[in-house]
Amino acid sequence: MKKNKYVSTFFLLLLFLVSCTKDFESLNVNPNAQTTGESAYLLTSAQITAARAILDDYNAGLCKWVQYYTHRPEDNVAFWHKSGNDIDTYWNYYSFYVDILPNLKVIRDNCEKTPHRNYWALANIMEAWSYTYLVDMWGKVPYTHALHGTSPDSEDPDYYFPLFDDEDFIYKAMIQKLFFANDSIETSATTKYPIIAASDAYANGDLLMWKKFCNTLNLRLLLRMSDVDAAYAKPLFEMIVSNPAKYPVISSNDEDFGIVWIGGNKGPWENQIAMMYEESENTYPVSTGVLYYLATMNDPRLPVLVDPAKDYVKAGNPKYVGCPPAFIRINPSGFIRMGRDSISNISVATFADPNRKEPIITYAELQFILAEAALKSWNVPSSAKQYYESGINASMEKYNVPIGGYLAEPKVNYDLSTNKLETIILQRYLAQFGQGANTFAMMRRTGYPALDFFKIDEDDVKGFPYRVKYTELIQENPGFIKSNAGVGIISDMWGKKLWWATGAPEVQMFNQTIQTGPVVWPVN
Amino acid sequence: MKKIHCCYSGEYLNKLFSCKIIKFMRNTLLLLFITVFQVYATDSYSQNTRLTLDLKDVSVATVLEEIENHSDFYFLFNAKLIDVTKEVSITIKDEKISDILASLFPGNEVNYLVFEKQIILTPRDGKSLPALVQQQRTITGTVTDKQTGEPLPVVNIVEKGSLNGAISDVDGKYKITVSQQNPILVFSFVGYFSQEIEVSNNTVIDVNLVPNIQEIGEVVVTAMGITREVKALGYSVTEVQGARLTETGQTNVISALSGKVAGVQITGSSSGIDGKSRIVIRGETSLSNDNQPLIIVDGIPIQANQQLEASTIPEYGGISDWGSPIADVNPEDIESLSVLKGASATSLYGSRAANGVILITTKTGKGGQKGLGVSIASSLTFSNPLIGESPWQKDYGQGKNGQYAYVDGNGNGINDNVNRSWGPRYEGQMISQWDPETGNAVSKPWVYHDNWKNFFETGILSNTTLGLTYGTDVSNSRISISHQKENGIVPNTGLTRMTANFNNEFRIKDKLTAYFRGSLSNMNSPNRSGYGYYNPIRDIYLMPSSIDILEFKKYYKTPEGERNSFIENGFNPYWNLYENLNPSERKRISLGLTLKYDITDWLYFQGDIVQDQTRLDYSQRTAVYKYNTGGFSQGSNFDQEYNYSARLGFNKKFQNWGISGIAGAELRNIQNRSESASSSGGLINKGVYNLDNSLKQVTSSHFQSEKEIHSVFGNLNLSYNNYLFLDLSERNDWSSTLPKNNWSYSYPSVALSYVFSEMFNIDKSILSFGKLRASWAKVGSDTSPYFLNLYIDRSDDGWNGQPVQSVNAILPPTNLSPEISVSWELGTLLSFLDNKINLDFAWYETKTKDQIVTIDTQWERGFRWARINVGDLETTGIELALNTTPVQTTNFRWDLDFTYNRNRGKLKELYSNLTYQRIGEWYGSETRAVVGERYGALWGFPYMVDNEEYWNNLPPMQEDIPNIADLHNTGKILTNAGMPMNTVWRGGPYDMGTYLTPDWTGSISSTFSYKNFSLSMLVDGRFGGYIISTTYQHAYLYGLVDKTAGLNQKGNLKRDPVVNGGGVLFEGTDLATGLPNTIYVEEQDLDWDYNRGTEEFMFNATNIKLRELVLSFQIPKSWSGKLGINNATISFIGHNVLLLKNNMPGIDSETMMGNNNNGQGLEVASIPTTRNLGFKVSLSF
Repeated sequence: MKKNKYVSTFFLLLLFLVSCTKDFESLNVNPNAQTTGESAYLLTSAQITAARAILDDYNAGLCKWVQYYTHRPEDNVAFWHKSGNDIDTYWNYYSFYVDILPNLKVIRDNCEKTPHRNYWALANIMEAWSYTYLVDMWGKVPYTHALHGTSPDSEDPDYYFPLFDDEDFIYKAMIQKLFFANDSIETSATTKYPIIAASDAYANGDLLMWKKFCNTLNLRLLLRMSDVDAAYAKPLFEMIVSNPAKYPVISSNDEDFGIVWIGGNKGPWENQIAMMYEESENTYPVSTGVLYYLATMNDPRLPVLVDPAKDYVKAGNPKYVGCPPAFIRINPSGFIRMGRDSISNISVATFADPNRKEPIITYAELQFILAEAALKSWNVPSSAKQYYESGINASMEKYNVPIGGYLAEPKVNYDLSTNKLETIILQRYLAQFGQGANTFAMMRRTGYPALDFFKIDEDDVKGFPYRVKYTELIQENPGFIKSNAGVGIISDMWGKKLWWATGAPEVQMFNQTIQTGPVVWPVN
Repeated sequence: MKKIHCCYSGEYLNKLFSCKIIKFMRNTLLLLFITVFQVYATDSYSQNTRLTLDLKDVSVATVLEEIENHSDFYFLFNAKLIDVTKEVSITIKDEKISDILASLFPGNEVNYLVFEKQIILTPRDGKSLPALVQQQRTITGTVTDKQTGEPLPVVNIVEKGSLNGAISDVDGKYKITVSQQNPILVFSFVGYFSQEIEVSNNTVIDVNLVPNIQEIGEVVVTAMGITREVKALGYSVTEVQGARLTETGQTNVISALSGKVAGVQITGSSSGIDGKSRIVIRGETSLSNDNQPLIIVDGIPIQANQQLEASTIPEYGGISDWGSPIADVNPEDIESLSVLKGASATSLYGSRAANGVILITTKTGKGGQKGLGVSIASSLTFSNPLIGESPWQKDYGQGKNGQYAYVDGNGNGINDNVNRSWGPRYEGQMISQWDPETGNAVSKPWVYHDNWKNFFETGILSNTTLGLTYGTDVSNSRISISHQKENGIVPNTGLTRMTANFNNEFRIKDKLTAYFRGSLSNMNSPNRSGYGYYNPIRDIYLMPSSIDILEFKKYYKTPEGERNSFIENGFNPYWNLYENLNPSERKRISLGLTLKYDITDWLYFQGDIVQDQTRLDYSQRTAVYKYNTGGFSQGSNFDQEYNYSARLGFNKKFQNWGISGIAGAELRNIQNRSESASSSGGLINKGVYNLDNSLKQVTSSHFQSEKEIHSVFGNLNLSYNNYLFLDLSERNDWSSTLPKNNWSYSYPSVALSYVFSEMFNIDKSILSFGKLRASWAKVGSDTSPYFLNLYIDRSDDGWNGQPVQSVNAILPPTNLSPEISVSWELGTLLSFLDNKINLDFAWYETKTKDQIVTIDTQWERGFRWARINVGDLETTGIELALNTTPVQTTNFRWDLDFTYNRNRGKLKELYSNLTYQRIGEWYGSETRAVVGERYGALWGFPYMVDNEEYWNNLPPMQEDIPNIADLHNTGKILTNAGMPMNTVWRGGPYDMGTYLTPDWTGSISSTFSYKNFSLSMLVDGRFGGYIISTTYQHAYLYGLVDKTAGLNQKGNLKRDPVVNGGGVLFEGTDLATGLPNTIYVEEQDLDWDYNRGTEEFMFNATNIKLRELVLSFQIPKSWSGKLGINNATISFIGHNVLLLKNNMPGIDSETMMGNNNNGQGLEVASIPTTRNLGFKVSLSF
């Protein structure tokens, strides 16, 4: 019996040992991390990541394509990369779906749990900007089925491999988001939905500015789809323009919407061109394309946008030297290598200024958008010419240069212009200097302006790219295949045009042969 | 085990002396000396055990047999001398064995000696001795263990060819009366090689018996510390005696295991002193953890040995490999080490034992010696690079285009800012060069310097262990302390380690025993070398040989304290080693207490409380100089594990049946904490290393985790007639890391052993032993804590003084279930020719499913990675151990052992559309587990080959050659204008068609013993498999690879300009013509950029080493005894003595980037493997 006592005590002990799993769940609560996020701080991260992605990290390659400036060179300028490699579309795409959009989704979820009209609106505006960027770059992208990782339908194949939505569907959904956002924002100082000003990297808590950004962006998008779906775009565009009280838009250069990076000391959020200049004493080499227009049209902005080449400055004979955007790859020994100091960089004073506001959308751009709308005979308050000249003036004022006789220059004079659209777009092109993605979309839609020789690599039969490349990873994605997102695309970047560019004219070249060396301005 | 082992061999003896050692369980005896648990079963056994017998008119032999069947007692007697045929009747109830014997052998005929469970019957007087006795002499002496020097009791001593026999007492002393003219004494003892000694005129003969660790019938320590006979096991367990681990003075148990156990692959460290060694048992079976086994020392699991959350997200090497706490276990303390290989062997330990278990049993005070015992072992070894020769070209120095002249290292001279070796040829010509002392240009002869050789120093490793044992009637203890000092071959690296180990076994009451053990260690390193890309010796690999490193060493910093270099901000290995120190200190405390209570003679209760703690404190200094604002960081990692367990154990025998088992429960709590803080923005004051000296706000991080596992377990061992054994086990775990509906999981195992040689009466001299075994087991496994939630991260960088948050990129699992692995094992154990040939063979298969892995997921779902149950990794293999004794005479013995293992892991399935899981990556090369392929595929950037298959499989090829019709199908590498066409940095990487895992591994070891000398050597190797060397990848760019110099196909210097007949003709097919390439290109143009395909720096990883060489001499007792020394052995020892085969010139292909999964198959700036030669002295008093 004594034995039995031992045995039963033992088994009681066992039972005690193993039965107490009730504290397991609390034991498995992570003491190192949180499972909830604050809308204000999530918004900051979406803002700075999106600005880096759209305006900085992947902008340089697009700027090369639209011939503002070229890639950051090493010791020698040797642009032998295939054009498809100019933009790291792999990480660009990634940054949206993993780094930016999930944060916005959590903000929206937060606002659904505890209503917050303003953060809800800001998240939607950010989403509209992000998704339309994705469409502008690639074409079809996942929207409806995207970001369902944590949802109960996550394992459903259409969500596991999110289907790719049609471009017009996403565009219209985003335009709708922007209207909702505009209506949702409460700008009053006593709003029940205050936002943390210091965490708002774009507008420092100014909700009216957000409203203006929202509507101005909406106008940009509506114009972008105007050639393929005017029936949809025109009334909405006119609705915004006709009711500035309800739909305020950017009304001066001071209201240019963008981000002022935190300067100084090579922190992660420093102006990237400033950072580049600190490290290499160089900025980006200017392209022959934009330099051609700035130099031949006697543009007063030239010295503000471009610095003369260092070697020429040293020699006491300052000149602007453009870097051709393309060389032939085939024979490595045929590379043209130019000394870094023999070509012009984009202006250190203008672009490497740590306090520069990097623009997302500007007053000048809005003027050109309105000019184009007027040209289409859409119902806008002023004439195309007035908006056109207002846009040029705004740009000159922006760079603080006197306009002089610029408006009378042969290619600038609106009245003399035989192709008004081309004239407007060329000025918008110059005013948008450095905005690669925005200009890339504009050029594909309109076919203007003409550029320096850009047929590159072994693809020189093909012209200006229609899109950036879907990486192999995306192309192998069952969702991509199931959605026929790749249908009609040839050689990654050609074939089928984007929906809003259907039927658009091809971008032309003002120079029909490849440059074999630097192009110097002024020519003696 | 009725008759496996006969004490005396030879037919004559068999006839004369019927060797009727009934059920001589030698394991029970060995048990005495090697296990901790065994003590509860045997100590006081004879006093506590009471038997009940009721037998009528049976022979004495039957009575003895009955006693054996109902107890653990075994009788040993000579049937010619003891009459066991006599009929008796006996009725006893609950009586002690001594009483039973008294009634069984009344009168004075028989003497009985009860030694624990062993009962020896001898005739009391000489009356029954045969009349053939002629001349009688008495021989005395002591029998000791050759390796430990400790006395051996109960050794059988017989005079060969006679009936004279004796048995040594507890002090190993014996006394035997011999009767022949030239008597030969045969000493035999279970677990030791028998020895025959000619008596000649001696009257005192001291004998050292050599342990026979391979002998069939040995016992081994199995799961939960339970000692079992090998023959009863349905799975594979290999035991290695401690002495085999300390032979070569290695201080790391793992590296000392190399080549000694079939199926175990050890990869040495590539990070210098105290670097982690990797051990994998039966190949990689898991994608989710690092495949390292669980290591248990005296029942205490060493926490922090395994990295449970493995690394599918790549790491890139680091400043330092901080080592592993297993290195803190002093091999000199180890009595034996068991390797439990398959899941059946380990399933009682639960999930984390899925990669096998290494059970270490330390030495105890047991061994029969009462009073004080002292042993000292001391070794001193010197280490040097195993490969002393630089593999690089010795013809050209620093520069470019064959030109170099130093002005300021900043580009103002001729190529004086180029750190590559494309400069002038060494012809002793006068060239303006860097003067390390002044930094100025000085004209001096342009000559080669053997920097490789000059850089490394002779490393020194000394290790001294003092062991004390003390035994009394009720307790025995052992205390040891050791001191290790090591200086690495890399300058200014080293460590000191102190360890203390103690254990005490104390019989509190007759039925209650306590066993307490613990160890403490302190490893202190003032500086260790880094590993991977940050390794300072990367500079040595890449530095031009025109720089004299001996000069450089003197002036590695300028008088102003600035970092000196031959080009602006160029290489300076000494700056890293002398200024950027990485001191670290690791403390380990491990304690265990076991209480055991014998409830009855067949039932016991046991409780264990054990804990292991390791704390690592480290700091890293980055010195300030022109290009570095300096930095300092410090941190600590703390790992702790508690285990509480209780169990009931029983052991019963019924007639032919035996049944034993345990049932118990366990609670395990594991905690980790790490803290670190770093300066930011640089340091305020130069040369001051503390956090207060940080220019900006110090950044810090803190991480802690805890998990708990509750378990119940049980096993049942059935035996029938000693030839059929069945083990059943079952364990259920509850893990806090899994979701509620899945946190309970159970796993069963079955193992069967069938000793057919025991069943059929096979002639022992032909087949001494034969068994077949089969086992099956299913093992479940949990994961790391905190995997179940979605987290919001806080960015390190704020915005505007405000925090920034973002959603973590890892998608948490929705319904995580435990990992499941199912394994099979079939094996056989055969011994031939009186155990002279022993063969152990196993075939195994493990299928691991539902692994908890972090995989790449579709980004559009909002996450980069997802944690999920995926994969089906199947591992199969065969392993073989063959132990032979080709020659054995009185004074000479030769043992020859072989091991062989062939292992194949194959990923059968991953998840959804995933075709591979990345294991590791470095510099464009990757290692992968690819679905449908052998584990460990190597991917890189191959050349384009003129072949349609390549065209179809290599996307960049189709970009360069749009039409397949442009191919010529010559199968050669394509060239374009003389340059090879390659895929470097273009998408990819691409399949190289090779694997990092070896085709097979094997070893041969041989030991010759002649009188007091013994010579042993061990050769082990891995055969097949490939490694990608990123050191070579860089060395091509730097113009260092041997191939970049020398003569071209025309017999002219390759580096001469093509126009002068130089250059190199790349052998391939010209893309344009389809004919062999005829265009010479400049060697520098070929190599300056990444034009070399990965094939050029991918090497066959076959590697064979003379791993160990030991020559030892045991000083004869007749000399040492005068000093009171029981045993004195002096040895010459060598580890990694020779590199017999290596295909990667200059770099040991056994070294890898790191010793986790993702460091395998890739090499970067490895610290050379060292050859260690030295001496060892062991003394025991």
